Amino acid sequence: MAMIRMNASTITEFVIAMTIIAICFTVASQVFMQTNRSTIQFREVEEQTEFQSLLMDALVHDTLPAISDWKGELATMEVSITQKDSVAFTEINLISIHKILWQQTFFSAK
Amino acid sequence: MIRAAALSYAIVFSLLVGLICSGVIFIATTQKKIEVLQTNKEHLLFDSYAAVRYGIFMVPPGDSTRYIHSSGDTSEITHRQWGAFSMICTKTHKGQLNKHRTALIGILQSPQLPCLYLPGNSGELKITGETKIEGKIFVPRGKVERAYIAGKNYSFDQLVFGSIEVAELGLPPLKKEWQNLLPTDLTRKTSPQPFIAKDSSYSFHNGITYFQQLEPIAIQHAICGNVIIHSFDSIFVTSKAQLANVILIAPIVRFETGFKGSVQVIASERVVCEKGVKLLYPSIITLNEQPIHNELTRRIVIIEEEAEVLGGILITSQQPEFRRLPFLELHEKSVIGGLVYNCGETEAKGTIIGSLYTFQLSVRTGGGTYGNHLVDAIVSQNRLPDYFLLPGWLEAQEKVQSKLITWL
Repeated sequence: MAMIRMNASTITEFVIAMTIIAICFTVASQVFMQTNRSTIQFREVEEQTEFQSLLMDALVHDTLPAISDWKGELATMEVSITQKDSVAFTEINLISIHKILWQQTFFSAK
Repeated sequence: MIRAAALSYAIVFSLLVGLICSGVIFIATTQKKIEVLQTNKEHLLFDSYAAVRYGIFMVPPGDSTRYIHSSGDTSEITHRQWGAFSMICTKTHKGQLNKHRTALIGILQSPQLPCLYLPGNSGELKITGETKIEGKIFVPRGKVERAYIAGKNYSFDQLVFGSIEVAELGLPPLKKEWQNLLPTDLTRKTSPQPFIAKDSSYSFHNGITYFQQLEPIAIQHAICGNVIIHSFDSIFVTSKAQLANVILIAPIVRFETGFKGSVQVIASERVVCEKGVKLLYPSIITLNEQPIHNELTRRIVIIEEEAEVLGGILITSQQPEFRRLPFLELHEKSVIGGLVYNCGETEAKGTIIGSLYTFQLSVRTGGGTYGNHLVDAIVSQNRLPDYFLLPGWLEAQEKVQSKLITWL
């Protein structure tokens, strides 16, 4: 049985092949990471939208939103209040996995 | 030595992979840019509302300021007067994006006003028919009695559904700016132009549009916003007209049956709301009697049957003549919501939800006129909704908190 002899690759061919494989791996891993995070990201966006609805309702109807109003599961609502004269500056943050998704200052009477 | 075929395959393949990668990077960058743009727009929207709230609490009347939000947006905020109410105008911007917003604001006041204030020490208040008084009242000598006139008896067991106090000899004083309200107080240095009869909307972010003419004006178009319509003769608002937040100035103003809208009226002789007219919240009627020699006509505000005025009525006189005091006439089934302050005489046959301050009360029935009488009238402070803000005309009214009335 005759043996087929293949020529060995040159260094240049090897480098090019490795580069292509590396790029393919990078793109694939990025796609994989994105796909993996997409469920969380989708829920974050969903909760951010719910939070914005709550804020918009409060801003339009002149009522200060309370933490108890927030029904989100993934993100948490944090409120910090600072007083200046007769006005309360309420900093309302929506936080998900140590990341601030939305921040809004709300002015109200003390 | 590299063989040509293998190298060209490798180059073509690299180019293809490079092209795909570039495409992916381009899509990702564009997506990021769109996301940033949309986020900026969202921040701008929220910050424009927040800026109005900042203006309500932090910017004094007649002043303007600049505020930088935590998102980096900048808001220019102006607090100015629009008739009987205050107004906050904001412009929020970031780069090329900008958002305008305007809101009418009022004040929560303390202490709560009584539902009826009738000064003097002559005769006690007499009530009959279906009259119902709900809330605190101030009446001469702190007395209320049942009356029997025109075949009507008082129909409830309790005279007043609230407390009764002794009134002073005169009405509580008005704030200085409301004692003698003149058209020039509102128009200031705005240049007048002839009235243009067409459907128009005027932004509060531009200067006031001031229409002025000597002849009578008949309004039958849709006009809203930052506009003052002034006639030195009279203004007739037809049922076809659609007015929103407009200021009307004329000695005589008349609203035709079927009209519905929100206006602020500054008159000096007569205001008539015909049957069924609805002046929506927040609407104001002010009548300021000026001293004119040899004038015999009585200054009057007439609210006909089923007409509604939601906001307030202010009647003042610069030269009160005891025999012909300004007159407020509320017909049966008419409704006034808010504050009524009349330095003259009031004939109340309808419903007042809020507060009535009047120098005299009278009623014409059964061929006679009876002073200090109420027949089939409802005066109630308790039925006033929480969101309803009364105009701050009285000196005794102290601001507790500013509050939003409506978005413009």
